[in-house]
Amino acid sequence: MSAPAPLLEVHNLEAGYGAINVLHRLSLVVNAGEIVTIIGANGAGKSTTLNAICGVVKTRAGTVRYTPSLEVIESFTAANAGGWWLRNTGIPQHLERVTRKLARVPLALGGFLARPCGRALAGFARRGDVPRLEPDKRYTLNRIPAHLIVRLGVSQSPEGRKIFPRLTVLENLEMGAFTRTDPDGVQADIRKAYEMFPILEKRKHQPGGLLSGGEQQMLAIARALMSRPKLLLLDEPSLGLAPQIVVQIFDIVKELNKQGVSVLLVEQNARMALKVAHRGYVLETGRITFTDRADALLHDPRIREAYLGE
Amino acid sequence: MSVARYWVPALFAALAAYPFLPVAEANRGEQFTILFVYAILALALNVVIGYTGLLHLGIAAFFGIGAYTVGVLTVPFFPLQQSFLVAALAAAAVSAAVGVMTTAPILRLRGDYFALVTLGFGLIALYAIRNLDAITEGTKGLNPIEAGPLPGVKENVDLGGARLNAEWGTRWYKYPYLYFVILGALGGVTLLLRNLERSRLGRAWVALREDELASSCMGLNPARLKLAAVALGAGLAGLAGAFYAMALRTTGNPAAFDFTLSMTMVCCVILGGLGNRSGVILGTFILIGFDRIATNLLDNYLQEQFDSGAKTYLKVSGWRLIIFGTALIVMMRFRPEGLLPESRHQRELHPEASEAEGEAAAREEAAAGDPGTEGGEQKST
Repeated sequence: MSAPAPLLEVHNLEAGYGAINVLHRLSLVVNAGEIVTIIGANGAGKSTTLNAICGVVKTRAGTVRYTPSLEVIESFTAANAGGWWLRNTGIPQHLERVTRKLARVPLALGGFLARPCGRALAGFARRGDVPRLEPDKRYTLNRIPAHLIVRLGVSQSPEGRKIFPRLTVLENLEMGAFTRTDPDGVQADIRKAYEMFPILEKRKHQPGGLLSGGEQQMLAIARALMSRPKLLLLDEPSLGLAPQIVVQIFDIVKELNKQGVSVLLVEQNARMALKVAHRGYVLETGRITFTDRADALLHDPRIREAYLGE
Repeated sequence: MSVARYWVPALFAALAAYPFLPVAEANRGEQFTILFVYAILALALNVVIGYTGLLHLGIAAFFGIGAYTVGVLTVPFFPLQQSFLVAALAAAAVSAAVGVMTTAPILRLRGDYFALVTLGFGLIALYAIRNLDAITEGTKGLNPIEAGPLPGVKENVDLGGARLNAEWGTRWYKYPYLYFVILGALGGVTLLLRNLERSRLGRAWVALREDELASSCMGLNPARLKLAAVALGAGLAGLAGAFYAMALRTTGNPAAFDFTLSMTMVCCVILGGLGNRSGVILGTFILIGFDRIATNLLDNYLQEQFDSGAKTYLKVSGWRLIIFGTALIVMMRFRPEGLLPESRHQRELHPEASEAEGEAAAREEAAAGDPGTEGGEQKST
């Protein structure tokens, strides 16, 4: 068995709100094809971890490294070559030409002034630009803005579901595919979502806010899948749901994983999470205190006592 | 909604036909022209408040900036002497640029705080206009604004040959020519916004208004979307300002661009129906129409009817703010979503109606589909 390739590597991550640090030197790895779960009590920093990975919360130290697949890189490059300004105005290109000219100014003839100005100009031109991706390279997610991380194949289904309550189910799904530029593929994926969650097709013209909790959770997962993620971040999918629906949702997570989506699952319902996951991390007040294979954690007496209520 | 789909084109057709009617008067037509200008302004504000949900309380400043840009570019006092088309486009561009520059630093503020800063911006802009004597001539305003309509066309082209009756003017900036121009612009803006609502950008704005965190998880860039909305709103407000200056042939007293105007516009948008174009136009016609046209008509009528000492109190124009306020309170109590609500707002404010609708649909589908799964679903929820 070859060593699994790390898809996501979080190293010594620190993040927080205001004066408070929530995460303290947190490290974890998600390998391609795995379901990894983070279990922990309220306020341990589970959601903050996911939000830091997908760029919604700014990180303070440490790195989040991500290795996109070749396929993602190709579609990303095709859709975003050069960034919006370059594609629509050509201004950055022009500024870079100016910078190259300024860099040739002899130092004695004002080059000492012109060169830094040129560099600043080039930096300005690249601001907000979509990074150029190269294959077989890792990308540091915490230097990429949240809306671009989605395009790299990392998609979050946020805590509390956060569906768009006044958009219909169909419109919610279409918003999930906002980053995509292939209408036919999007239509096909909407049909796939309906196959996976038949209830959504029945409700497709109803506003999302009128769905029941379980249906909203399904919608949130389906919406997160619309961007065709390689890594799905699931935040508390069982929150506030009836046990029967929870089982259903976790079955779907397993099914998705079989189709090749790696999953990072954050849960308070530790028993369910450990049953579907391959590996688990235990998070306590912003620190990873324990990690092992999921079945080992499930039988570990300390875990059983603290998180499984025995 | 089928009624709403036809009444707007019908209203536009009726307004376009008005100058050809024998009862048409130049004065009334000029009042209508101003009404159209305010409708454009309300649509501009609707982009910011209705689509993205940013409560902007300084829209009058962009209106003023637009008017004064046209003033500076056309009055004899300055050497620029541009045509109205150039000046109006410049007005939109300048307003949009000021909108972006003043909003970019405050995008992180939410809700009330954003509203307060924009309110402050509106006040600062008003005082700047009033006190920049060298550019704006202070409270006198810039005048006369008598520019040619297009580059290379003189302002004094005689249109007397096209006159239908004595009410029609002889210059392009007189009734009914400017009336047609501004009505056309209002129609153009309405069409533009209709297409925009259905575009990717329009969808993104709605999603952003619904939930900012979720939208950034979907790959939307909230900062750029908000700036785009403010730029478009401010640009359209600047355009409205340009038409205002042209219709009045002066920038008028800067007091016309004060906080009251911003607030009245917010009222127009909310009265008509936040986020709904037809509603916003209707709301503006009702509010501004009442304020500028109906009060005068009622005043004259009452003064003719009564001939006693009490008639000094029978001036609707004196009571108009009370009528205004009462109407708004009644409105908010009984129809908070506005006269013609956007369907999404309707759902939010009257959940019982749409829930019943949804349940009926679900029952129908359950009857048609597999009853087993449907029952299980309902039990569990």
